[in-house]
Amino acid sequence: MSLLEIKQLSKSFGGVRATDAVTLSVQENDLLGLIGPNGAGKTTLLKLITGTIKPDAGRIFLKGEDITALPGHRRARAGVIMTHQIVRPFRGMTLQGNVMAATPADLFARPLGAMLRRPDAESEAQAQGLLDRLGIADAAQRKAPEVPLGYLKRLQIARALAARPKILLLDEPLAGLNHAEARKIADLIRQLHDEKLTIVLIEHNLNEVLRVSRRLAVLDNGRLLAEGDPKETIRRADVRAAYLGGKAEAG
Amino acid sequence: MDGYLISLATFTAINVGLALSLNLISGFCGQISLGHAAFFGTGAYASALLSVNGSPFVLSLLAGGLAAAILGLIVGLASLRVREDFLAITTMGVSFLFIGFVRKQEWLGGEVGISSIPKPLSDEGMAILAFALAAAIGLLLWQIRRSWMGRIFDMIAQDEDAALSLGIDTARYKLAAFVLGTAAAGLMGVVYAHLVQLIVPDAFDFIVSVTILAMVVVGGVGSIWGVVAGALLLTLLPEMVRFVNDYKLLIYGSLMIAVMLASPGGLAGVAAKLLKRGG
Repeated sequence: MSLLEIKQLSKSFGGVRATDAVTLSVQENDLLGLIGPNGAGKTTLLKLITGTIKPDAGRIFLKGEDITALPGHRRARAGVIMTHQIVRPFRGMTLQGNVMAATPADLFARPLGAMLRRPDAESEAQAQGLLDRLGIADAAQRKAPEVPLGYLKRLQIARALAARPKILLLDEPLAGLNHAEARKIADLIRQLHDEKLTIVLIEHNLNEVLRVSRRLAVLDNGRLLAEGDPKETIRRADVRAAYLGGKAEAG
Repeated sequence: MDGYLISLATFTAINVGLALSLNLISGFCGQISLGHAAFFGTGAYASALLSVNGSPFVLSLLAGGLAAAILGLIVGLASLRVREDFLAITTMGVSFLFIGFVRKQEWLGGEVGISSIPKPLSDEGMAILAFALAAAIGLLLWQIRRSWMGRIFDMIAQDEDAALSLGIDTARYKLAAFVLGTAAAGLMGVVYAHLVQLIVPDAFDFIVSVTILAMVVVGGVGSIWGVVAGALLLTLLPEMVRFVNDYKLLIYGSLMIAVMLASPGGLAGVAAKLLKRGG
């Protein structure tokens, strides 16, 4: 059974069809690269999956269960976790605090329970472990605005992992990183996949997407243009026209 | 002890309690409120109504807190649909609605209010009660700050969408902040009503809401000790300096602007900076 299934999903913004009848499924332990030219509707699609925006039509299923009407925070608790292209840490918190912030969601559905319990050494150690895994443990006690972008990009992933995702949606995790850094993060994404995490990866860095993805889906003008093995899919003429030659065609 | 000093101490404790209760909503949880006096007034009116009709004080006290919390829940529910500047306008509307409503209600005494509210304790007793309640509110805030709830409030205050995307039911937490903060304001309203024994609508008007907000802002939004200091300063200063009392609004307004421009962390921010420099 697919972990995530999207059926005929559509969303328009003021007459522009950002997502146009997209049907796509993500298998358990998949690493799906999602590419397409700017404005193809990649981020919109992820936001529809997380519930940040509501679709005009279509359905979304998580493990066979219809989650189309489920509010965003409930989907997050069910394991649908996204990181954003533009980093958004809690600016007033330390990096460790940022990661810890992702742990309480399922524990504290009720505010009273949250009022009576304090963050303990265990949750601190857990956060520290994730920071360590992402290679940013040295800055654990520094506030988010004090660290460079590369750290914040990693922090986003650490925070997302702390939320215990069943499916991790990454929106351009490599954007703004230099070549070596991007490669390291891409390696880490692949490693998470090897540990059985299901991942959808939006990325403009084609080299890295093709290197780490198991499958590739191409969006163009809100429509799913192609889907399949990464290397075969990228060679298709229509994909090359839309994605690589998009500008030439438009001109 | 001097009667004037006792009454001044009691009013100071009431203001500390009010400022702390608003700090929970606006400081901890980031939900700006320009209508806090309405909840203060709800507690005062609900308890006064009961007490003049022969209810024991303890019952009036609980009812005052409960009535304010119920109004807080309603305003909280309305506030879930609006954010930031819109929330400020909405809560300002609550402040005006409250006064407009109370003034026209015969059963609430209309313009002349409710008088002859029985005083349940001696002057000293009222002072102790006011201090105990303010301290209890302070302790509540202290516990919240150290708990997961404090972290979650902090997340909501800093970036509500991010909190949602991590699975936090932000609506529920915002309601919790409103209910706790408004119940606390209602309790202080009960003490106020039974201390002055005569309440009129104007005692809970928009100016009072802004004054409570000024205590929070001047003290340092989100800081417990800072807000206590802010409430002390803005209560005692007009009493000690005649000039300040004459130009209260002018001075409160200028102070708020000065704090926003020079030290958004308020007194707490200044203290933190001095400590850092000293250390």
